[in-house]
Amino acid sequence: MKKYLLYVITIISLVSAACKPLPPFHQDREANKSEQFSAIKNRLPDSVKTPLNSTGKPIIIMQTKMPRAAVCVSPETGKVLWKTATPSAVSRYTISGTIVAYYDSKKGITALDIQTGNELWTSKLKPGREFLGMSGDQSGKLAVVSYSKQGGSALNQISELTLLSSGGKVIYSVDTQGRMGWPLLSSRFIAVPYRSQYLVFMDLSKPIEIGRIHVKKGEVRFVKQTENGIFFGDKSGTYSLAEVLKKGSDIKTLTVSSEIKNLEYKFAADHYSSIMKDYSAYDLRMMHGNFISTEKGTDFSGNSIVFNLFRYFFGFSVNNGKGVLKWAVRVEAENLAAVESFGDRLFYITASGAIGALNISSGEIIWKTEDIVENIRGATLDLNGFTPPASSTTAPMSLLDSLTAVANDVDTRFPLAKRFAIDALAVVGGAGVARLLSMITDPRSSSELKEKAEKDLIERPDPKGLPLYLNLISTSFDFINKTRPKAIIVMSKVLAKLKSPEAVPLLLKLLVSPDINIKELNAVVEALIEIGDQRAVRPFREFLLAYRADPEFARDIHPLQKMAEGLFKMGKSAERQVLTFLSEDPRTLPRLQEYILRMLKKTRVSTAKK
Amino acid sequence: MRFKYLVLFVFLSIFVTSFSAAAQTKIRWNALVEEDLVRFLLSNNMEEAQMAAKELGKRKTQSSLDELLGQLLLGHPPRLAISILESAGSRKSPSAFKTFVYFTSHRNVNMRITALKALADIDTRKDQKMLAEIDSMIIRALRDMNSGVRDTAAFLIGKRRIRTAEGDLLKLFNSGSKAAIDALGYVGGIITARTFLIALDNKKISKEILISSLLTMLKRADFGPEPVRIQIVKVLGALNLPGAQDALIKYHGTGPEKFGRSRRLAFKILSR
Repeated sequence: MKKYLLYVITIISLVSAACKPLPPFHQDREANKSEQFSAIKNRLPDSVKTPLNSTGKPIIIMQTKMPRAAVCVSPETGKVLWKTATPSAVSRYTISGTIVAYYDSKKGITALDIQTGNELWTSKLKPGREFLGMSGDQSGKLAVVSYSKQGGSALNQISELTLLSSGGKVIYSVDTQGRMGWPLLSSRFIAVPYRSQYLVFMDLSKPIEIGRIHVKKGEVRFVKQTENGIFFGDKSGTYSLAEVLKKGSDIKTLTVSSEIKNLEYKFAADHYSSIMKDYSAYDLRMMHGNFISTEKGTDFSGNSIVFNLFRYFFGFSVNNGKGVLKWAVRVEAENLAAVESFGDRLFYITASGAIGALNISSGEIIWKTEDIVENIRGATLDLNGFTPPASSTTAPMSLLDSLTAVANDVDTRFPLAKRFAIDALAVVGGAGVARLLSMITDPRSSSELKEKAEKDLIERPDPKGLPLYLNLISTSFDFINKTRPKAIIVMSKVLAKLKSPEAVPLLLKLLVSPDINIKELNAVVEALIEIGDQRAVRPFREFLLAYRADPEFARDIHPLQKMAEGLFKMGKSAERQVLTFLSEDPRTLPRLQEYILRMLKKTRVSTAKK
Repeated sequence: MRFKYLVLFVFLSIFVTSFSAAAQTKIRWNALVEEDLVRFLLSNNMEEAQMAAKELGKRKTQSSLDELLGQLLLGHPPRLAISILESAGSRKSPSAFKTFVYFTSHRNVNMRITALKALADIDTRKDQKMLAEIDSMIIRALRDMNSGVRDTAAFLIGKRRIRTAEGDLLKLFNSGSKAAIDALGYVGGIITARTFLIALDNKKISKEILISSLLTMLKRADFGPEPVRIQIVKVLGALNLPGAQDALIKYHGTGPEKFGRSRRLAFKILSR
């Protein structure tokens, strides 16, 4: 009997173990189940229309550089509310209800009172764990993700999600194999990016996994809550949580593309990146847009997005996923420290502590304050529902003028922004020939801008610009009036590509001008050959004869060789006789002689074969 | 003693031998026919080629001129081409006009200068149209990017008295060209005179050159009217420079007869 009982107990235990639900984050848990979606849908939080902090007023927590300190500023008054030294802070500040939290390299998670800045509590991570990121909400709770890599390998990463109360007590802690990203804490659940393609939803009081979404297109690199709902995705596309719960994860994502190269389509920080736990320059290289859910799917409010690149903003209008650049603004500040969008406004903090806002759709700077705190390296903005006070607005310059100003900015710290502006200029309609030409000929243009403008003009020459091209090279060399033909090499290449016979007289005039250098001469000769007009034959012949023995060309024989080639292609028997004379006369420069001999020999060989 | 005679004998032998050799190899260029001169022109010896070109220039035949012009167009190293151009230029023949014009835009600066000079030397007494064309080409050369060419053009303008070049010469003067100052002495009018008088206060410009040019203007019979001359004389008189005194002496002594008042004033100033 005893044995029998033992058997029964063993079997019951085994069956119980087998039926035990899988722990949260387990890789074998199923995803995208309709019952899970229903559970999540029932918990969808209300829109966040007010600040997260318990005062209910908009605040900004700025972080100063060495030594690091948290400075709480009221944007309504422009006054500093409190300042607390945080010398060992190695993370951003997170606002959650009654506290401002950060990760201190010595103390662990540290919470400051939102009203006074006094330290309230600290909470250390488990030994061996590294801090990744955290999120808060109006309740004051904190959802923290930390990790450790066993053996130093990312493949053996253990991630831990810890939920802390506003008093710093651990509500629960869950660890798992695999990478977690830093979470989004809302009033109804915690959404945790997991293993790149999952978004796992956790309960707020117990370590229970409510459900999970598995995306097949793209990844889940960020999750954010706005006044319009919760959105997640990566640079290749954004999902609306509400839409996914309604229609499944196979829905079309919101994507943007543009003809302008070097555009970075990041709508939020990468929640898996440990670099992003702290303020960095990456905060100033983001796309900003007000996501909304519509009947057709996720979209941008006002069809507008803004690409922020340090102290520059580039506004796009988006239609059917295509972004067209509409405006460009450079903020008058040495640099920015933080940029974040709230609704249809984009707020920024300068490195000298001034606060500003611009309209996402028009680029108009609608508000800015004086400098408030010096030496800012980053800031956390809690401005949901905040309307800046009315002040005089600054409309942006015309798009082309703005882009040119950015491209010509003498400040050498922002080559990426310059590069982007140059790429944009090439694409923007009406950047047109006149503007590209002025970039090439303006002595104030930076060398990168000139180079790019030349390259674009040569790659995509506009036939309508022909009068402008000809005008540039029609100016004579004149010492008294201090004039000379401009951009000869570039214009020659452009005219060659267009094969315009109208250019021939001017090119011939340049050919015989004593003042063009060898490189320019080469470009002119190549253009004439490319155009293939017979009017070039006689000048080529005369030039070859006049300079066949000139030591100036001994250093660079290329133009003469090209001319001989041109004469060979375009000329008739008289020109062949001249070439034969050149190849036989001992006074002809040796390299020219050899070249012509080879050319003539090739013809004889191919004629013989026929 | 014997050794001394031996050394003397050796030296004498070498001397006589080389003299004979030289006597044998010395070319009598003026005795050569044109075909032989052309052969030397096309030879590898550059000195002989240049001598041949020079000799062809001395011949008075049309065929020798045609040969020179033809060789120019066939192309030679610049040193030889310049010799050929100079020789052709020495013939002053209007038939060379088009060839010389072509070489006024040669990439080699010395070729351009030689071509300009050759153009200026062409006998245009029977062809006023060619004269006008040559004058305008010389004026155009004032805008050349090379200072040597500009200076040559200025010199030729002064020599040919091309008055229409005054405006361009004044612009060159503003760029600091000394050749322009000289040339303006020969072609400048009232505007030039006033410009020079103002420039006498400019420390950057050499006063001697300006004074010399002002004297050139004063000595011209076509420069006037008298009040302008009087002004120049007064300014020169006020300058405490030996060059200015010299200029007044020369003007008083050899200036045009019809401008007596200003010449007498010069004398008066010098007598003080």
